[in-house]
Parts: sequence; structure tokens; C-alpha cells
Amino acid sequence: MRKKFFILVFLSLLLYGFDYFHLINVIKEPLEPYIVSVKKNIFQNFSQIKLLPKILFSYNTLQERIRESHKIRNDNSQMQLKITSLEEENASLRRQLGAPLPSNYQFITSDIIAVSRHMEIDSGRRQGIKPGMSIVDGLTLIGRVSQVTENRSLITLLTDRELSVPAISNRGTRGKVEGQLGELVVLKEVLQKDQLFLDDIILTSGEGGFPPKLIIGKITRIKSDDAAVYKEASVELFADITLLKKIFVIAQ
Amino acid sequence: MINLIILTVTAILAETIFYPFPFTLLIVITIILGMGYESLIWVFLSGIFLDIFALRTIGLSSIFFLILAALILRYNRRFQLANIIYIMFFILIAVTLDLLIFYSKFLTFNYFIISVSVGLLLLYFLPVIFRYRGGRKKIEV
Repeated sequence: MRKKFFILVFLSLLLYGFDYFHLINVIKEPLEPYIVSVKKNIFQNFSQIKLLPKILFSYNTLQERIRESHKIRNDNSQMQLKITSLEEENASLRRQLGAPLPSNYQFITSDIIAVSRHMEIDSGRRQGIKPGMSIVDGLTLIGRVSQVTENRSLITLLTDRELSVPAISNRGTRGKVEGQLGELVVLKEVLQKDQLFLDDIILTSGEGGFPPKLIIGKITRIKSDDAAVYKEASVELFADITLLKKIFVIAQ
Repeated sequence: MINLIILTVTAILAETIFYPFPFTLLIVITIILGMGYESLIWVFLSGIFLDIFALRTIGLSSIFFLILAALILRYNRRFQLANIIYIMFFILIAVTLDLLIFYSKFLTFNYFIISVSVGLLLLYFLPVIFRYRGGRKKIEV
């Protein structure tokens, strides 16, 4: 049994080594269309499941949210009648086309096939996606492409601590938006002298490879210590990835 | 056998499509507890399929799962269903490590609740899951 164990560990290490140096892409790539198809079908048809943990863990605020949703439903009753799944898709496309982004931007439309730690989309190298490209929904920044295969791409979300986005507030205060261990997103490296208020809108500054003026979120909490060089703020993201089915890759 | 395939596939799909939580790890621990040394191939294959679906470097999860298998099988006397606290403690440590390594997250309260409830559920249904083994007992209840 020990022999079997060591053989399997050796095999795993061997596979890891081969995959690290992209030597087994010949085997992996033909499998991708099938994996994409399975994941896409499940994600698009059962996307409501993602809301289940949220419902369970926010049970306390559920009543308040139901009341809010009733109010919103009444306000938008006429509009909601018109909404069908096809119109929803068209609306997202129109929104993207109507977003006041520079005209030289080119977009690659992609369907989301999974959202776990990373978001996964059904477009890859073949469709022209490269690592480092920014992902948007309308004017809202979602994340950045971190890994690309022939037909799939992984997107590092703003909530990930591996992603750091140079940002600027609507008052001109500069900082860096970073994910934390967990679901929190914070605006860091803000100088004590710089103005920062609750509900300030945070945008991309145009540095670090991100296009400028993409909306990130708004300030919900400010943590300031007079002895520290910088102050920090919690940022509530505008993008709700649990509701998205389609995103746009900026291929400038 | 079919139970195991359904459970493993469901866990891989749930983990890679819907929720960043190591469901596959919990299934793998259940398989190790239920099948003993015979589980090594399952553990290896689960890791490979998880890596392929999650677009990770192939082999990484397998190594992690195999190390866990080695630990459980090395200290198998302590891993009895009667010793549920010990198993749950091990599950929580394994989940914490998995979350840190593969998801860059801490074991938050939500993850703790999911780990404990899914872990207990799987351990409760362990005899049902391994019914196909024809009464061969690897675990003393």
C-alpha cells in the first residue's frame, strides 16, 4: 500500500511538473470544449443556487430586504413586466455599447461559466483574450484576466487579495483598492491629509494597466489612525457578480 | 460505487461553479474514512478532475489530498466514528488549509458552519454511502 501511495504522489508531482511547463496542453485542450459546455449549462441554468448561502446567512436582515424589495418592485412594476431573459441579455449588450468609454475600446463579449474564487468565462486565447485585460459590465470594473487557455479564461475578481487596483475617488483622493482574506475590499494607501468621506465614489485611476474612470464602488467605512501614515476605507463594490451572466473584456 | 461517483462529481461541480468552498475535500475525507487504503486511487483521481475543472495546475490538489490520506491512514485508530470530535477537528484544519492554499481565505464563521454541517451529514450517511462494500467494515460505529 505504501508503494501505491508513493507511486500516486510521484505521478501527481510528474503531472504537476508537466502542466507547469505546459507540456500536457495537447491532452488538456481537446477536453476544454466539453468542460466549458458542462460548466456553462450548469451555471446558466442553476445560477439561482448561488443566492442560497446569502439567503441563509443574511436571515436576520431578510425581513428588511423583503420590505425593500417590495418597494423597489412597486416602483418598477411597469418596467419589470417587460423584462424577459432575452431582453435582459439585450439590455446588457446595449448598456455596454452605450457606456461612455473611449471609442477605440474593443469589447469581447463572454458568457460566465463559473464563479468560485475566480470567475471563469467561455472565451480564451482563440477569441483574442490575453492575461491582464480588464473585465467590465457597463462602466463597472469586475476584475482582470489572470489566466488564459485556448477556450477558457480565469478572472481575478476585485475581492481577491491578489488584485490591487490603483484608484481615485470623485474628490481626487488616490489610493489602492485591494481584496482581503474574505469578501472585504479596502481602499489602502490614502494619505491622512487627503479628503475621504462616506459614500465617495471610487474609480480606476488609469494606472496599473486598468483603463481610467471605471467605477469600482463606494466608501462605506473609514478607518483612520492619526499616528499612521495612511488611512484605510472599506469599499462596497457596485458589481454584484451573483446576478451577472455575461461580461465584457476590454481588448484595447 | 455509483454513490461515490455522484457525490464526487457534485462536489467538484459545486466547488468549481458555484461556491468557493472545498466540498471535494470533505468528500475525499469521507472516502478515505470509508474505504481505507483502497481509497488512494479515488483520492488521486478526484484531485486530478478537480484541477482540470478548476483550471488549476494539474496534480496540486491530488498531492494535497494524498497527504491528507496518508495522515488519516497513519493515525487510523484515532479516526473512528465514535471519536467524532477528533474527526471534526481534523476536517476543520483540513478545510482551513485548503481555503488558505487554494482560495486565499480564512475559515470564517460561514465556512465553519458549512464545514461542520456538511462534515456531520457525510459522517452520518457514511454507512449508506459505502453500502456497496457488502458489509465489510473499515470503521467501527
